[in-house]
Amino acid sequence: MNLSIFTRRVVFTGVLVFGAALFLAYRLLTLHFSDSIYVPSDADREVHRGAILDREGGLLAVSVERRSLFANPSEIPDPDAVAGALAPLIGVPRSTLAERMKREKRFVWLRRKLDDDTADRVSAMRVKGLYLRAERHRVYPHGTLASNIIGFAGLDNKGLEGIEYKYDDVLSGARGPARTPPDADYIEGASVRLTIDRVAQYTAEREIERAVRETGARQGAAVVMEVKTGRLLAVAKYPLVDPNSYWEHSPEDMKNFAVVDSFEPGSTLKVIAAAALLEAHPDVLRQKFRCEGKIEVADATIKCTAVHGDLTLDEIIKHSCNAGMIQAVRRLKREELYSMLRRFGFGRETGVEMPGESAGLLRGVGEWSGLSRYSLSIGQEISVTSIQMAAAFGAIANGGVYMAPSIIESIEADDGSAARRFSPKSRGRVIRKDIAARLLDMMKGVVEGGTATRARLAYYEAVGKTGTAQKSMPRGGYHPGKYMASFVGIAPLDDPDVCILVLLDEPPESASGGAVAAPVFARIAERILPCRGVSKRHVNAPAPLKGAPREVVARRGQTPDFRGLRLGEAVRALAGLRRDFPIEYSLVGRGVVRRQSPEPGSPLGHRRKIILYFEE
Amino acid sequence: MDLKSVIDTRRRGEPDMALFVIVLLLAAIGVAMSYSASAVVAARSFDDPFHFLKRQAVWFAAGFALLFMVQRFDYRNYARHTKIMLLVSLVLLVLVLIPGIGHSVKGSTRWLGGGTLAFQPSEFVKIFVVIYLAKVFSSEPEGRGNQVVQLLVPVLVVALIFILAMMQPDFGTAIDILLVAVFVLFVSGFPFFYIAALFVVSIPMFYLLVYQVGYRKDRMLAFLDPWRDPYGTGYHVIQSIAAFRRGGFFGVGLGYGTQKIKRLPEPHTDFVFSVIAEEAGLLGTVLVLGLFCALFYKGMRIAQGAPDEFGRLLAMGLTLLVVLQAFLNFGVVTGSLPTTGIPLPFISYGGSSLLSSLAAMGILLNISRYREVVQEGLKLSEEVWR
Repeated sequence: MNLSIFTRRVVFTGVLVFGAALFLAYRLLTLHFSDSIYVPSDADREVHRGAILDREGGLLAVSVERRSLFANPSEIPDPDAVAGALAPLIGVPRSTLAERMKREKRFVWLRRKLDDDTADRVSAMRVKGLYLRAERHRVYPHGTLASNIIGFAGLDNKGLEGIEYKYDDVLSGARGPARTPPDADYIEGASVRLTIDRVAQYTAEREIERAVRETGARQGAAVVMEVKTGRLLAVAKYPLVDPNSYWEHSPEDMKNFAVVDSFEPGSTLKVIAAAALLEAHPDVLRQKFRCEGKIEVADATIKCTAVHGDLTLDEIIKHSCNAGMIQAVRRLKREELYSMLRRFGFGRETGVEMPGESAGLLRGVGEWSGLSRYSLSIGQEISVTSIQMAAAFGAIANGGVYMAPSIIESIEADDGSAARRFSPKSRGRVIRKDIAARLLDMMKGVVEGGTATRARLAYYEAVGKTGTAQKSMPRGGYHPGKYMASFVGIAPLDDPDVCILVLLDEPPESASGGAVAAPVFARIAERILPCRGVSKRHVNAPAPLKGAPREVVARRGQTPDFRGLRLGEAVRALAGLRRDFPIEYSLVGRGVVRRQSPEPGSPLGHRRKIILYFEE
Repeated sequence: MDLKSVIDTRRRGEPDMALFVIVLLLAAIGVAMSYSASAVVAARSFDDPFHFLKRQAVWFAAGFALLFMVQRFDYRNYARHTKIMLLVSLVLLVLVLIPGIGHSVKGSTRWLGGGTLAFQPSEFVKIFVVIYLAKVFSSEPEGRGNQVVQLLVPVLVVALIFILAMMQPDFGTAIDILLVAVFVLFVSGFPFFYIAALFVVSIPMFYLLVYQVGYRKDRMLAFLDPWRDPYGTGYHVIQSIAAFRRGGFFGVGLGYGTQKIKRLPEPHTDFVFSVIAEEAGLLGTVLVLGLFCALFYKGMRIAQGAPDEFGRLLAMGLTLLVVLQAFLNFGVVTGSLPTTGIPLPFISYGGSSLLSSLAAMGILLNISRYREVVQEGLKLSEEVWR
């Protein structure tokens, strides 16, 4: 064989090999630098999703380790036998298992996220070719509690709703303070601590649930805001979903009614109109307006709830008189009302850290009709969200300084270092302090003898405003007989701590905000305020009793006579009565019982509320 | 005048130092990477991050001892023992397949013995096959007429070994042997016609081999479009590509790679190049590729300078054995070839692989010792002719 053929062919081989090397070098360049190669960089590194905590650090959402079962079919000699043994244990049909284990693959999932007991039993079977792999599973220890805020994460640990969705990148460690150890085979997410107070949230949820069930309303919401900081202590709604089994619920139930939906507020907005009046025309307080049960304005007739007669502005708010309000705002310029509404945050998002927040609808002055000013003054032609409303009233309670509502207390890594801590965000003063005080004073009348006497609290002085609005239809006009009943309350009056909004969607036709929403406010406030350490300024400490305590005697099923009793005696009597009857009670004032409702001797109905009025 | 009497082919010079340095560099990279790539796995499985490093260091030492021994041993002696080598090869390959003797890992039966002393016969069989082929194709043809017959025996031998390797299954090694056989046949000067005919005959066989095995078909499809099933069959390719992308130009730093932790299937063996890509970036990958190119070049030169036909074919075969295996590995980890388990010579963790690669280089170094002698001899012969 001659050498030249050898050399030629070696050279040819060399060309092939170096050609391949060139191709590989080109390939390396492309792979190292090309942007056209999409790489899911951390897509499958296991994410240790951060927790969602309440204000006190209680766990609302947490990731736990679950084991998932997979098989390497090439290692399983007898798939049918294994399938038969496994099927009853993991609850997957035998035929399905057998089919999966016969696939020409080296990896098939058999069942993901087994409970510990089952996983132990499977591993005790010691079958060759079956393997357990640890996976993270999202658990919501409190079930439905705050589920509308938290949202939920799916099977693959991706946030799909609520905070889980909004802060997915933080919780999954893609952004934020969490430091994953460099050699770890997982990604450490940061925890999100909410301003939500478990107790307040629970209370609000239970009371809203109760109100919705008792009245037969379609749904309901309640928002509790700390007025001095804008912290949202509770954002409750009913119906609720259980995020541990979110797939069983309808999308309608999952919707965060309290944030996403906007509604026509109705009379609650009169307070804002009054603020505009007080600022532009302070002399309005000296005027009186006559209500004849209806009023004609800009070619329309607007009905009032009653014939109220001559009213001051305070009385207009107290009785929620439409005719009076409309007359009062006649002097108000459009811009003055519009500017006041904007300052109180209507028509734009509050910036609360929840997904899908609605801005509501507030049209610019240019789009107003001749009627708009009057409609707006009684809360029509505008839509607002529950959060907006609570924040607006919170500004009044906070002496005229608007605090932007927030739900995030802090975002923190495992070691406690926080990337973000709550700091109150203000949008500045929206009304003068004296106007704010005056407005609170007006709203005091509403609770003391106006449309919301049922909002009265036993130990605190509360103020607020009712709203009952007909639901508007999407294409204009109003639904006959479909209402939104609301109440926005502030307590305690002398040093406001919380602002609470209660909203009921489609309560029974006759139910007003004062009738259905105000009591819910009272029940929430009465439970929350003591827990928040707000001292009970409204009543004296019970005076020591002289002589044997008096007792009340009444025939069964009748209201006893409480008159003349001191506080301690009255409470004892009520407690005794409560053993036999599911009553509720409310104590107002200080001293001894002078009046009571219902009158002595009248029949005691189921869940009747007894109110005792104490006077010196 | 008889040339052979002028050239003293038994006199030998120094081995090729450049080749030795290249091999030393590659093996040293291997030791370093076998630590970086395996530390996490080792800490998890053996509670000792140095588990694989210690073993690889031992293999490194043993491998170079073997290399020094082999390079002193005149390569021409191998030609006399090809029959024994073939026999041993076949026996080893059959033994591996016998249940109870062969030792299986992850569904492949490639090992004999167990634990640290487990060894992979196919790594050594490769060298025996190359020696055999070099011998067969360098023999003087006994009459040009029956070249077909002359071709038939080695083709059958290679086919048998190929099939035995495929039964383990060890697709990578089988392909490597086959490619080397084709190239040795090619450089030995056989007419193109025969080689082309062999190709045509073997195509249907390939089709069967690929499509009879389910996972191989999956891998082939995954190769064509890894994103079709990114968490199933396309997973390895995607994760390997991701490692390159993360590496960029300078890499993330030795030891700082994260792809190796759970995502790369065999970070310290078959996919060690991806770990280099991530941790040392383009600099690292181009360095390794460059070293293999240099190795090929040196091997080619040594083959051209070898004193006889057997030496030329043997040098070419051994060079190709290592370089083609490396290129196959590059092809797999860069997603340019379908996924198949094939270690990167010198660098992948594994005693059998390192020992056999270094032994092959020892033979090559031995061949290189006769080059200068040949050139001197040629000069001398020219003078004599003049």
